[in-house]
Amino acid sequence: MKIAFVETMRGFVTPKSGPSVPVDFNVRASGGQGGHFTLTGVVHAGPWVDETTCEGTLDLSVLPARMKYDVQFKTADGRKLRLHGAKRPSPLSPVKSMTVLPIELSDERGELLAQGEMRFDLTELPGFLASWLPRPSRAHRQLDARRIAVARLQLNSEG
Amino acid sequence: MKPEPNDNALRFHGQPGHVESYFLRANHPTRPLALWLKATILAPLHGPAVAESWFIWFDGEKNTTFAQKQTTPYSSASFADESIQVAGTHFELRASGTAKGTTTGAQGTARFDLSWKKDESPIAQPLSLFPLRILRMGPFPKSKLNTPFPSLRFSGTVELPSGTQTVSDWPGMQGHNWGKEHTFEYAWGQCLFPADDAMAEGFSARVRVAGRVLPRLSGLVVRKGGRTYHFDTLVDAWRQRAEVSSDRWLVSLRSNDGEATLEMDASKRPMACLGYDNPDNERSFCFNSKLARATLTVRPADGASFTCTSEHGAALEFLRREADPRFPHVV
Repeated sequence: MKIAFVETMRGFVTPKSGPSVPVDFNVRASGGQGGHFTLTGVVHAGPWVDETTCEGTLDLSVLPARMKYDVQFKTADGRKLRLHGAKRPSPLSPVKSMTVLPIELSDERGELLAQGEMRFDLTELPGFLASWLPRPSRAHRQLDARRIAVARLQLNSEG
Repeated sequence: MKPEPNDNALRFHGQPGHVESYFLRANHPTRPLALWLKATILAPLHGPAVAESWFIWFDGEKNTTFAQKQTTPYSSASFADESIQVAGTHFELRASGTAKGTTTGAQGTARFDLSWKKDESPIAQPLSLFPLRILRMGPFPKSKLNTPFPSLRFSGTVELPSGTQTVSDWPGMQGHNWGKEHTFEYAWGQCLFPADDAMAEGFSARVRVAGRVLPRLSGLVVRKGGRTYHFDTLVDAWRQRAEVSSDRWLVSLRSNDGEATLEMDASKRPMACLGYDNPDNERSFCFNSKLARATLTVRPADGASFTCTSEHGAALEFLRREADPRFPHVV
């Protein structure tokens, strides 16, 4: 059965030099077969990209318990970047392990640009749970509208 | 259910323990010059009410302020909703309104003769930072505010001892607030971004309930074109962050409409310190600039992000209970 939900993660990454900068992504995960989801949405990543569309994957595994995120996007000058990391659910620390995502930002050659931590805000839990329902929720509609608006702006700036 | 009064309807009906004010603000479209006018009522817990007329001219080119206040018995003033007369000043607070008057004080005499028209844009619709009727009409918070005209265009003249300034199509606004006392502590800001057809108004405040000062609560409303973005849940402390320093205010909020960050900074800008007396005779100090820099960033939940900036077009006020030694002169 195909599943879809919308998730937002926010946090900070620290480059090799310079202060920490905010990063966040707002994505729809869809799929679910074999624990594999495709991600589509919008990402902000500090000085690298102000706001752009993104794609990626989310892979869930039971043994070892892991939720692996890989969010890919392009900068204005065409560089391909990845935000990637994994949550490792643990019964010893269920809330923290499910809401905190250690993250790395790297370029297409695999060079590490920055690393940090992103978090799921529990105040958004009701909206997150509602987004799992078969009927499209507000979170899905808003993400669709946002992604279209951002993509349109990108096209205008490129064209 | 009792209908809500008009935005500019007078809330003072002779009761002791009341403060109320009507204020106007206009900024030069490109230069760091601004005007602030205000008419207030102070009804102490004991004793007769007084009316006050305030005038401040902010000159960012000379880094000066020209600030005056005149006080008269309330019985000699006239507050009739849209039509206000206090100590030589006369406001007609309508969509096409006027403000005329003369103020005299230690710095000399100032005269103003202004008219305005409501902006045609949807951003000019009346605005309240309190999303619920119970907050606007109920006992909490003790201080209420609304903005009957968030975006106006002013024309006319302002005569100062230093010369006459022609006012031509200056953007500005008119606000109205009232309550049993002044808010314990707040930062309040309003800014128009004419180039973006946008505006923002918000606050971060601490109120006192039963003698205890509560944690800071913030609210913000942003308008751009035909859209209004509400970040005014107020009690949702988990999704708001505010930093308030002597001259700078930063607030970040999240709501179902998205995320917003507003920064206002009046550092090294002309600022006046005003003494706001409370009905119980305690004094609050309002640090008032109308030439603050503003940066607004909004990430709508359903649209692309946008950023608006104003180099010196923001109204920024801080109300505190303590005086500031940088301001030996309190108006």
